[in-house]
Amino acid sequence: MLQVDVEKQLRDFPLQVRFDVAHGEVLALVGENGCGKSTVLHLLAGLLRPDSGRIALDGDILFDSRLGIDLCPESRNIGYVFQNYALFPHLSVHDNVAFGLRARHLPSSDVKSRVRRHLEAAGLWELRLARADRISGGQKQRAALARALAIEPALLLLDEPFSALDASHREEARKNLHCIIDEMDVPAVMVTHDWGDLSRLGDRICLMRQGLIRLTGNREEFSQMLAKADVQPPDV
Amino acid sequence: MSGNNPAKQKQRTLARTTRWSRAVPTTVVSLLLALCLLFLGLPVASLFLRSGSSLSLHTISDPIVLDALRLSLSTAAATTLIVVLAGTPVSYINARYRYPGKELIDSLIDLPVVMPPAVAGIALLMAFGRMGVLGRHTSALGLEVAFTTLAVVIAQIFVAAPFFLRQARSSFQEVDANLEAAARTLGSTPTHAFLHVTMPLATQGLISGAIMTFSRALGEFGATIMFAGNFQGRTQTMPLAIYTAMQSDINVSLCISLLLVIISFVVIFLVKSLARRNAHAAG
Repeated sequence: MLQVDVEKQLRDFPLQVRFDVAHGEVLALVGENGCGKSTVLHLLAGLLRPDSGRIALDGDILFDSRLGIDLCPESRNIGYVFQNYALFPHLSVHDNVAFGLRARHLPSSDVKSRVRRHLEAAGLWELRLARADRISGGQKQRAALARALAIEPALLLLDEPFSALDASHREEARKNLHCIIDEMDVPAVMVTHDWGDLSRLGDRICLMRQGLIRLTGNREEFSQMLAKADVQPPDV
Repeated sequence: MSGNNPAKQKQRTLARTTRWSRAVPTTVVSLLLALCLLFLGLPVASLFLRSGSSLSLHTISDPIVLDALRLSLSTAAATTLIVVLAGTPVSYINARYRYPGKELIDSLIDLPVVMPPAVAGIALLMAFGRMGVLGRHTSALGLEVAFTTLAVVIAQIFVAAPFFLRQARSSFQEVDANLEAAARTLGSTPTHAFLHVTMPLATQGLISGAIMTFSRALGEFGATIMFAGNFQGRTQTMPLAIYTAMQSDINVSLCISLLLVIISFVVIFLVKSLARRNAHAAG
């Protein structure tokens, strides 16, 4: 279980978020550009430091301002799929997926077998030698996901994971991700603008505005709350 | 008659005008290009034409030429090494972080590029000379800087470092910071991320910066003669040797000039090939 209760002063407003995410659950963060959604992911990953609060994952404290604990990103074991995928353009698809395993100094036989398993699962084994900047958008998305999953993360962070895909590939990618999260049984936090992502993947949805979570609920509750509050769902 | 048809006449006039309107700019541009080629190419060609006989084994083995060549190559190499080692982390910090006084540091880095070399020489003398701000203390400790080979390297670093620092900074800025963030979340320490992600992506730019620095250091004249003097074998680099030999033996001067032109040409060729490789890799 991921437990988050943090505050951070951003340039224009204070960010204050509090939520829990259970194993196998996908919490979707939605809201206008600049409302602090991606900042929340950066805070969870340790790429930004909250001003105060606490982040705990399966009982391990990742950040606690009172106890003075702030684990660095490399010690958090979090799989992060960035919005532009952030694949290393100078490396092959294989070496991108192997990157996290090599950084952990795993034996090369383990690296080989794990990379092969994840590349085959992502349908990228044939493309393993291709440079990461020379593959299609859909292949990049699968490579970034395979790279994040190869480290067997305790938490999955997804920043607009399907934004670079065309509509025909999105549905398949959503189904694929849903299966993976179910299988891995880890908490996942997803930032999205896409109503399709929310309705297919978001087990729980938080609407953010100006650094605060304004509405929260499961898919049905969220739709009802939006209707009641006369708020348009994002990007419909 | 068709020849008297006003529409056709108008069409012919229009075609003539179009031909002229195309021919005139083409001629002007061709003339300008030819002039440019003549202006840049003639001095270099003349050097080759005039120094054909100077580039004999006898002239090349002249102690002045050999000493200058050895000193220039070794000091420019030392300068490049120091600038790359010290300048890479500085450029990375300037590309990625904000800190108090950054604007001032940025301006100081650019200053030697616009500063006349003679002014740079005087400034270095005032800092490191025997009576200089720092030099008087080092002199008291028995370490003389001015008019030594060390002064040649310091003068070269002062004038040539900006070429690397500017290029390295822009190369680091071009590397997407999200890639470093991704590396961190995958388990890289900051050093591992820098060495395995940032450096490989910035390498081409760093190499071109280093080559430009080497090239500028090799051609350094003004600051060196003011701060390091002109002593054969100790501070007399190739540009200084050209100047000195001009007064006694023009052949020696021509021979060193030719060697410098050849080295510069190789440097330009290397930079262009690297830039092409870079563009090819990016495409």
